[in-house]
Amino acid sequence: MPADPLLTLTPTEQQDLETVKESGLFDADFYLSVHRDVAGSKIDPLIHYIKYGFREGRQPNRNFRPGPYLRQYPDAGADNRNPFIHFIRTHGGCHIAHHGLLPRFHLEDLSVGARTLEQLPFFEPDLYHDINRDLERATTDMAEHALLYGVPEGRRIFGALHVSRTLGALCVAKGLDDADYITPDGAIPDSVGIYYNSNGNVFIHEIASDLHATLCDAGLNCALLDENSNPDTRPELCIFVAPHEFFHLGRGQDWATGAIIRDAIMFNTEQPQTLWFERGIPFLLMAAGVIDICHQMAESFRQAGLPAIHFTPNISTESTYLHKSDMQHAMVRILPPACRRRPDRNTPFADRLLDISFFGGASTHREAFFARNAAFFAQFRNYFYYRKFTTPIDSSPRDNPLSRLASHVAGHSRIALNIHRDDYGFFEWHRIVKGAMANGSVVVSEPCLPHPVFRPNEHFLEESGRHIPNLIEWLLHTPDGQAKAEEVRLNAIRAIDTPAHNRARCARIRGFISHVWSTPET
Amino acid sequence: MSITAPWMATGQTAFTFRSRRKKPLDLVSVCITNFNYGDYVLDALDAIAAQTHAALDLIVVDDHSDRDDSVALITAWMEENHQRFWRCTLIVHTRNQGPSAARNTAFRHAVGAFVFVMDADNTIYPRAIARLHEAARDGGFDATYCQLEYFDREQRIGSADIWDPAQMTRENYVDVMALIRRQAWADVDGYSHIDQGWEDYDFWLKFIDHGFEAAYVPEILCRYRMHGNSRTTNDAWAAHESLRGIMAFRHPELTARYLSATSDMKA
Repeated sequence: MPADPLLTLTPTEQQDLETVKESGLFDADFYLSVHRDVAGSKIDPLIHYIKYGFREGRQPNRNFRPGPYLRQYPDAGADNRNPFIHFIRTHGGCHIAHHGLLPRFHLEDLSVGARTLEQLPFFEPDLYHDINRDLERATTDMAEHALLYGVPEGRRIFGALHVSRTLGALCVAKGLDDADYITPDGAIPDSVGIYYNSNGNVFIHEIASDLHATLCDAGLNCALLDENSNPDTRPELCIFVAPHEFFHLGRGQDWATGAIIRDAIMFNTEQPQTLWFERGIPFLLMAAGVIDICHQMAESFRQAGLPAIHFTPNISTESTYLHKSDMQHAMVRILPPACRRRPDRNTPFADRLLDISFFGGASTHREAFFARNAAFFAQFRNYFYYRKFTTPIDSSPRDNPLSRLASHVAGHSRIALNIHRDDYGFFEWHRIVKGAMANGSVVVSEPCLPHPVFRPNEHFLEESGRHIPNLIEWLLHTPDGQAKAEEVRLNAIRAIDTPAHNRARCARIRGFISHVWSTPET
Repeated sequence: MSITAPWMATGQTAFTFRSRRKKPLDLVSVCITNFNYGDYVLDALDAIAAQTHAALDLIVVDDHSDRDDSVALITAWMEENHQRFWRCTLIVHTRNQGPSAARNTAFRHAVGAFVFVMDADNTIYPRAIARLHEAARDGGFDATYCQLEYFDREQRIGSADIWDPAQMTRENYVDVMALIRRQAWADVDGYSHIDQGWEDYDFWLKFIDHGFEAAYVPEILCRYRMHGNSRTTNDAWAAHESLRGIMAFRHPELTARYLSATSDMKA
């Protein structure tokens, strides 16, 4: 049968066909479903694209749009050449062909980011479309859109219901072994910078300081830095704490470039159901590795193919004492004089001067809890800093002492209350472990996501919000309860203090850094 | 209106009792103002009687209630409960004067170094006055306030937070229910009458104008009744725009210090 002259390929077209085939980037199903006329013609879609489609400006897949590509690379269309061939040849391995609203990242970074987002269990393309109905389903790669436009435009990326389901699944999953991401005694960078944003949340600064101390103890040459330092003289390895705020506030934005991000490690502290977490997503997904304060979150990043471990720094108690100047702060002066003294975390449950403390921002969930139980709590000596200001706790004179104050108050309290911000029982390490347990109070919490070290009934006590008053009454008023409280309190301090645990944490973080540092770029 | 204007002394004492004991050093005066709150006032009075702080000087001012038998109810309650107090007084306005004047009448009669201010439809938990007083005394403050529990029609938590003059200038988040040093009340010339409302906000701004310091006691110890027809919910919202202007006019220095001229005053 003679070849149909309309379908005979020139040598160049033949070569283009091979190039496109090899790249695996031509999406025949997409091509036929979008170009219904081609579907009716019975012509092989790839041949149609190579011979005619590209000249007609048709897209070979959801990602490659010839118009924007040609605007960026005008030479790609010279001599009637197919710009898609130019893209494949000059950006091997990439599937994202434009920068969207992230012009300071390379197509390589963006392609990795989009692929990682696709695999992140929190992300579901159909749900992204459900939330963002203005997008055309047939022609949009939802992961690409979420990364290049969704986050920068402030759209929601994850569906709330799917986040719940995913967290639930992560809690029961056996999980990938994070030992695969640890290289004991491997090579380490000559210099490491721990970055926090000086305009950010004061708690993040504390976590960064503790991380810095732990890395120094692990034998790394490590500096604690902020967004105002010079990116050009940055250390070999940068670790950005709380990327969701670091890259968004003030000069932190200068650091949001592919060249910096792709070699960096991100320390994620944010909860997956929040808009803040979504704002950090591009930086997490395009980084060399992720350290997560939450066990389940680290697993989700591993499932997405990122090197990731769950890690919390060793806790230095020194930094949490009130400063001399803090003593003049009204929130300290309203304390009974005996409670202004430096607390001793070894003070037994029975001898503590405050009954119950709480520190946390306002939310619907907490509002309902405190409104329902106000009469119950009113009988005890409390310190409830339930914050109604909507601004983050920053370094202003008004707010700066609050983080130290939370530790101080916990040091005088029998019970530290943990009421979650919302319906997700995120294990808030900073509040539960560093803020409360490390200061010797008993943590009474709503049920939390399981933690690999701290277990309910052993290191803290768990109860639904509805029944927390029963638990508190039992702890404060019965001999059995008081004995349990003292036992739980001591268990928690022991778990935090054991030097072997601290050494293991040092080895672990060093091993992870070494793993990320020594993994060759692919 | 000034607290020293002779024509403002319009109260008549309807009930009074004074213990023969010497005035206690930690005496706290409690000012309850009532206007047609006969349904609630006994709850408020019972809450005061149940306070853990022993030394109390109770002053109730009835602002000429004309739709219920408030005065008879309060008088009967005082006859039964006056022994609980170091002093116990009911003053009745001969003409309705509004909440600022009623509070000022109560303050004029108060003898404690600190005065706890409360409307007759609200109530407080037993530790409230003791805790607020202890914090004010130990911390050296001119006023202390705690977090509120809203109850009745709506259940939620109030808006109290750390005392911050800059934030107070932007919006009021401190209720009138607070413990005030009596001398501070006198120095700011008491509560001013403002037809549209917000006299509590105006009082705190005068407090800041005079350099007084208040402090937030982070416990939920006072209860604020939410009922559909409280004056705040109706009139003040309607007059929101003009009230912002009134506050800016009355406190120009604060407004200049904390609110830039371009900031949206409506926000």
